[in-house]
Amino acid sequence: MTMPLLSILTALPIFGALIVFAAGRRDAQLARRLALVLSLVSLALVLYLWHAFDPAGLLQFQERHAWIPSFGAEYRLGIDGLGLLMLLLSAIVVPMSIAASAQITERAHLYFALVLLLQAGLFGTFTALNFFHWFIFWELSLIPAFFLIKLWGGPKRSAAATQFFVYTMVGSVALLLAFLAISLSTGKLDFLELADLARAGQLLPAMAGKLALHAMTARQIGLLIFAGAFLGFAVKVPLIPFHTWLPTAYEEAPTGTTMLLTGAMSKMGVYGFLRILMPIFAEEMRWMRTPLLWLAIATVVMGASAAFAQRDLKRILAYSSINHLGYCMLGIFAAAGFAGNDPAAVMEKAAALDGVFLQMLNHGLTAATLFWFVAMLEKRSDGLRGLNDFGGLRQIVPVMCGLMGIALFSSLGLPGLNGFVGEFLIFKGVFPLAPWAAAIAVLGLLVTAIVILTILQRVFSGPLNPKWSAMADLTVGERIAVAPAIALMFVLGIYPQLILGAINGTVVQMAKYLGQ
Amino acid sequence: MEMISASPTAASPAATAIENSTKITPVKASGCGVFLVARVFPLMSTGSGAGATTALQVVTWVGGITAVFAASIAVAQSDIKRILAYSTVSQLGYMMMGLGVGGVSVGMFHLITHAFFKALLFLGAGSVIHACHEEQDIRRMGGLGKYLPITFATYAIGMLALCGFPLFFSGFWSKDEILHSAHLWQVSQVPFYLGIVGALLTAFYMTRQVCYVFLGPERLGKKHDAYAHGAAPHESPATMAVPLMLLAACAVLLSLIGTPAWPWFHAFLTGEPATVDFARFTEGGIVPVMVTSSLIVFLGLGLGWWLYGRKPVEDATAPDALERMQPAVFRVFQNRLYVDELYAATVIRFQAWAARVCDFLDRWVWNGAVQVVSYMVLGLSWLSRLTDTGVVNFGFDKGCGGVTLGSRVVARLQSGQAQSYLRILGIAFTILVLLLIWSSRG
Repeated sequence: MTMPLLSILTALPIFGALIVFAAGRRDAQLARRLALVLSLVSLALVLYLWHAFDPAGLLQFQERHAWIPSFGAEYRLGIDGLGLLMLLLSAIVVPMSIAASAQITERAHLYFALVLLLQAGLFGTFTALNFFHWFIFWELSLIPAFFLIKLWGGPKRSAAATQFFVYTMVGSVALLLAFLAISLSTGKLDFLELADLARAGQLLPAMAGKLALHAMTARQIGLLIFAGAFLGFAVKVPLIPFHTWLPTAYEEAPTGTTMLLTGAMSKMGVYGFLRILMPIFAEEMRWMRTPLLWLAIATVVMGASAAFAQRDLKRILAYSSINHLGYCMLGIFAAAGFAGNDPAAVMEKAAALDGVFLQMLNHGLTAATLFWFVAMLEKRSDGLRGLNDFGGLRQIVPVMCGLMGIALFSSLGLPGLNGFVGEFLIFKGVFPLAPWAAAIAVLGLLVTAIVILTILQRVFSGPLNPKWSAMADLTVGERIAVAPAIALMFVLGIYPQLILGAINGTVVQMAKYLGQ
Repeated sequence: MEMISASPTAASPAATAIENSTKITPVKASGCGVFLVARVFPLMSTGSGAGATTALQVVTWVGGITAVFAASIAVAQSDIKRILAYSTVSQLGYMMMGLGVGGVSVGMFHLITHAFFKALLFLGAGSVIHACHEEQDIRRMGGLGKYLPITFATYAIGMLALCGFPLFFSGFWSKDEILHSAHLWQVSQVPFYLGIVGALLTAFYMTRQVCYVFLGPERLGKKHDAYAHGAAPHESPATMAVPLMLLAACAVLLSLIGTPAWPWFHAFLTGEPATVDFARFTEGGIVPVMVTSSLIVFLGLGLGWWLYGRKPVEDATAPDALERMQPAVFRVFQNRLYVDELYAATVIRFQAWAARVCDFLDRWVWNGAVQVVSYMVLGLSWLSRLTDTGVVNFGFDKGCGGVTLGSRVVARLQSGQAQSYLRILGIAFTILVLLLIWSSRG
């Protein structure tokens, strides 16, 4: 009997949350330190999993127990390269967020308990392989996020939290309905079994047979169910035009929470596309190839353009996040939409998916770091964070500007930093699969560069705004805290093989299954 | 990509970037595009029509047009570094043209010679600017030759190399190779003539610049308060003078490795052994092209001297000699052919417009749709409340009211008071009696 490591990993933050809530009631500082230590323990456990993970194998650390057999609910856990990567990202982003939340002093025990609960939701989502079990954690992660925004957010936090919750909930309900339909017609809720069914070409006939409503064809039924599941994930990622909850939520959330939202939670949507939609609805995604690619292009280009129109740093970064996740969607839709799996096509699909995986990790790391820097800036400016509120900061806080500049350039996709490799691989893969889509989406890269350079120019360069002439540079503690993130940007940028080695088996398998 | 960066319309921002950066780096940096084209030359030269593939034709035309375009802008500039910056863009056009018509070694040789003499010119310009207390406007210089002898001498060498002064300067040999190849190009003779015009303009604007900076009367003192403090222009220290002299030596000596007699550089790039053969000078029109280009250089130098050197410019505010002749045309070139304005009116405006549109869509259309849905839900809830309170509750309340009223009446009857019971009994009894009497009568 091996240790049920994944169950332990998910349970750890739940108990951690209880401990923080109980022990940190009096002392905000204690609550934060306790939460930080607990999240670092999770990180250590994930690093152990990384170490013990066999890159050649697929699904590992499996646990499987019967739960509610009558409708196919099982307790089934396991991770492949994708799950492992997402666990790693969540385990990295949560301590970063806790470290960045030093300004939370009011009801801090509750705040940090909710952060840990959110982490449990993330771990659960990324390890569960049965819809019933997975959906519990998918929704569980929403609740702490809602309260984190609603209780500790900015002036419009209440509306932002409600919009965020309701919007995501609508998506989840659509997703739930879709899976009820699947469960009704197949009696299964296991992602892998459903994927096998779909690959064998039995899923669609089964759904059409059971759900022949109003003389709908099999294709229509398939697309309807796909649309429901799609909506759930499209809202979460988000794809334009299902994104309007995001800028407000990111802007109003306390910055530590924004780091969690953009760093880890936005990846839940992309994860859903990779783990659930792509294998189970492969055929539907091929049918919908062109519209889906257009949605991805709109997300990339319009996200970047809308970022250029913003004047609040957090809103700029929020739209830039939409843009960056658009590249992931582009890679997924191009790979999933291309019919045929000759060796050359598999190579291109694997390149695109490699890029998507890397982009998920890189965007999580970079965006979280950027929001962290915004938090540090806000701390020094009494909450001001407008693009035009600063100017010439390079002269007065050179270390902060230098390090934030590295993170900004990583977001821009400068070769040598982590942001480049993912985008490069995505475009390398997408170009042969859907040349027109790659060509239009490249515009997004250009506009992103303009947006990022505008930040550099307005905030760091130019004449020094006299208001900030006494601004303090990063403290030693802050420098030590951000250093690992910055170092990781270089490491991943120069040696992406570190990640690619671990995910390659999963990616190649996925690419082979596509277009079968 | 690189073709775009070297294209005429991209010249202006590139020149601005060069002009604003420090002395020598821009020359190295700006050669990157040419180097990249040289690197991918095997890709560009494969395909139909060996020797003049479509890609290479594009390279050639872009290069030729850039050479003339940027040189014509340089003619009307008055910032010492900006003139050199546009000159660099123009020479990069030459290199591109060289790559297109003559191949890697032709373009790369000009890249190498240009790197040295343009570095020399930028360093000399730095020396001049430093001597004039950060003054960059050539109209406010003048007569610096006698204060800065080393700078003047080396600058003159760089200037002659850039102009392509015959035989003794590396620029002559590298430029000549380009012109020769352009002359032999089968597709068109126009690039050759573009090269000739470019050479003429180069000789002209460099003469203009040298006349303004080093010759004529001192115009700086009249305007500049630095002179009031008695700080006359002074020669740069050895840290600057020695590199100037080394670069000047290279500007001359690099001639040796690229003459037709001993094309060592070409041989180095192609991996063939280099042989000495003076007979090659007489081959395929080399001498006529050399003579033509030399005459063109003399013509440019002469024209420059005629306009700027013969009658020294006395006053810093005096209009340029060309400006006096054609003020309107001069202004167009002075304003860099409005390329920046073109960008501002097209790309930049479009970008701002696109951002506004996306923001509008975000705020009103996408978010509007969400708001409409949410208001519809609110409206539905309101309607449902209205039916609840207005119809369902109202009817229920009315019904309840009726029942209450009836019950109250009935309840009052059962008050438990013997008197009222007796009273009702009495009244009922009387009514019964009256009824009986009424009925028995009929």
